Amino acid sequence: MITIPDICMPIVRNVRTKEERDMLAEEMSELEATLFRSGQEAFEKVLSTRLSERMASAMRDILGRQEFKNNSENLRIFFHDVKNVLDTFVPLRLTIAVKPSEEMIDRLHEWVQKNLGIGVILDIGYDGSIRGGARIIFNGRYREMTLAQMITDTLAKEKTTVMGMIK
Amino acid sequence: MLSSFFDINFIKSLISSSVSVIPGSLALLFLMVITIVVINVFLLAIFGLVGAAFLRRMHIASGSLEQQKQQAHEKAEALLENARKESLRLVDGAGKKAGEVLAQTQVVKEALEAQLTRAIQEFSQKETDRVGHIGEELVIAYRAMIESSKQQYSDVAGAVTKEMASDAQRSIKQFGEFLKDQTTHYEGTLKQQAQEGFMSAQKEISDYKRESLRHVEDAIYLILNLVAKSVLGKVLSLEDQQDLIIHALNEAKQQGFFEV
Repeated sequence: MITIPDICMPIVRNVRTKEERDMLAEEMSELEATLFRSGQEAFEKVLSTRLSERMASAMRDILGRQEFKNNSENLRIFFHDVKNVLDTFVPLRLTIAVKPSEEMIDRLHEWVQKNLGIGVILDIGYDGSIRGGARIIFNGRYREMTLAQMITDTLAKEKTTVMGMIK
Repeated sequence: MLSSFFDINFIKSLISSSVSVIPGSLALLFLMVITIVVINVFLLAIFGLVGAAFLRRMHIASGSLEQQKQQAHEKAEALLENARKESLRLVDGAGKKAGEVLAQTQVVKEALEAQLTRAIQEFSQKETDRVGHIGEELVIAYRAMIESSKQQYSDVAGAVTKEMASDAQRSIKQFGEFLKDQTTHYEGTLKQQAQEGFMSAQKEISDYKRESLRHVEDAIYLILNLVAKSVLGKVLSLEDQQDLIIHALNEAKQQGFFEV
């Protein structure tokens, strides 16, 4: 289990997938560069146009805190910490039989945070031949928990019974 | 000069003149030296005379020797000439003798050849006569032998023909028996093979039937598998899919898949 600074928590706990993690890391770099190069106005513009509404809101809450007002050093440390935390996230590879909806990603993300913790993010792939369930890869381990495999196993186990029913 | 030199009076006068000139012991020494010189000169003169006489004698001897050598050479040449003439004469004589001997030998050789030819002709005639006589005897004996052989051959052929006929009858009988045995054996083998073939075919049919049934079962199973997967995959809603994924994750967790 990784240790995440409290100040970073509102930002990183909303990261659900590997793509979101990579995007957020880029956004943090862009915000940091804009803040120190182009000033507050340009920073606000990037915040409202580049980040999602949820992420932008969380960022405004954090940057509105007293310790960040007129303290560029604290801001620099904050961006640095967020990027470090994102680098430590571990992906859970799930190959599923459908294209996932936002609702499905939310529900899977909830399951991951509840069962595996905040440091694990989803890496979702698609393969229609598995019919349902998921092929799971985590920390170098693999498990076939697909509907296709379940049907094959069941038919193999119950072959005699099934063939008897057909005859 | 020499006689005047050996003249004692001259020496005395010389000595006296010298003595009158040189005083005392020095004069004595001078006298001695003069004496030695005179003696030496004297001795030298004697040797010269003796040597001259010896050389003259040597010269005379040398001339005589050359003359003797010349005479010996002439003698030797005369001897060699005589020897050459003698040898030529001998060779000539020997050649003539050899010609005579050769002529005589040719005559003897021709005579011998004539004798030998005659002897061979006589011997040949005699042998021809003898062989002709023997040939007639042989023809007679040969005819008798042929007659005898004909009779013997006829007898043997009769016996052999009889024996062969007997053997052939026996062989035909044996062959008939062998054929009968073989036919019986072949019939048995054929029956056995037919029986085995029938059983083998039955087994093959049975195996084929079983194998075909297995293929059919496999095909049915495959179709069932495909149909089940296709139907189940299609009939599942997104909600069902979601539930199945959550179910898979829960099951994996229960199996300890996420534990490090």
